[in-house]
Amino acid sequence: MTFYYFFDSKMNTESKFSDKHLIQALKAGDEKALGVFYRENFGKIAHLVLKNNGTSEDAKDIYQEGMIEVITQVRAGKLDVLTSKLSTYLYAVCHHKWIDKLRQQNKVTDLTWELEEEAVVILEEEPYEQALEVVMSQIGQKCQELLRAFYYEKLPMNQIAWRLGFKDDNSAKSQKNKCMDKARELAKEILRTFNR
Amino acid sequence: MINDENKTEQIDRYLDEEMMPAEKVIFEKLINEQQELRREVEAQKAIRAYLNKQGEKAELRRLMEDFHQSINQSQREELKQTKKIDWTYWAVAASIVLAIVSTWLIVKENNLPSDKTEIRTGNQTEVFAITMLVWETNNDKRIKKQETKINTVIINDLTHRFHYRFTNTLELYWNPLPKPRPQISLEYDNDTRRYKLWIDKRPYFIQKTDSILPL
Repeated sequence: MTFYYFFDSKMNTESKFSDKHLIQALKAGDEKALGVFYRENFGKIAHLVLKNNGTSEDAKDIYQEGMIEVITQVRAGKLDVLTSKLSTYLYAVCHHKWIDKLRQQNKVTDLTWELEEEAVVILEEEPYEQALEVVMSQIGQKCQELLRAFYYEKLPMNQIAWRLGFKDDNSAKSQKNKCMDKARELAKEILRTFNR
Repeated sequence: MINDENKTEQIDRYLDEEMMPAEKVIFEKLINEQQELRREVEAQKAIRAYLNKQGEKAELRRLMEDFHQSINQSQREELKQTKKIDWTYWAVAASIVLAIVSTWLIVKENNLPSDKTEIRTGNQTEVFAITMLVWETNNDKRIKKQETKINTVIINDLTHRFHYRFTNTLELYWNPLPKPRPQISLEYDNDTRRYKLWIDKRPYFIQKTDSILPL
């Protein structure tokens, strides 16, 4: 884990959810709470990006990337003991992401921090995740769809067979096993290089 | 030794904690003894976690596009209000009113879901009527025999991510809720006696059931 510290001095959220309730609601998949949180905070991030060499499209991209990162962390319980407001935390994540983007484009600027409260950003180390992305691209589009339908959507085999055009449940199942065999073999090699 | 053919399923059963205690003990012993197997279990676990994370991210991205559109919409409305009203705006407004009225008339005429059939209460539950087409095959030709309405309710349920219950009405359990007004319709095939539910152009086979089943 990497920690980044920020200081925020003018933090003021108009959210009707207290952060504890907000975090609970987001964890439970409350779409309304997420919508309110999204709409309330975009202005601050848009201001930050537009003032620092960015376009409104950049602002939207950075904001959504940051939001996805924050919501994923909320759902994983990583922000249960958050010491700052969630909106400050979101600002900090987007701030960090925008600095990164500017650096990649060789446009490093002294990015202003316009909030009062301190925020500690947890940035996940993702080398293994990036490697998995490569693995998934190696097994092909259809295998990815098949595995996603089975493991994420948890669809029954007859629906997977229907959706992906297999002749019956058994062919879909056997193909699903082959896809996972292939992905597992490739991922195993990556684990080896990571010495795990 | 584990049979290669069943390895994926066996590891899944281990990760899903579906093994009987005795089998689990033997499997864990093998994991401890065989580094290769340990890596395979780790790899499969990582792939499953990756698939879940990517799936969640894709769903979040879709939701956020909807939220963003509503921000753009309100910004456009604010912009409109600050502009001086002239006849162009009146003309646009008049054509919008005309479009709404004529759409309403067409909707009414075709007996499609009226304003009372699509209600989202506090973003929690949505009630509406969907079209069900009954098909039959006659001389290799698919013929529409009947068109009816099925009362449908979308329920935001924390324990069921994407499930249904189908009696006289159709209940769709969704978490998180889909984007507003998903395209939903139902088909029944008189020959195969199967129901096919279409959600945003994706088909799902369903059956009449008193229990809540996955879609």
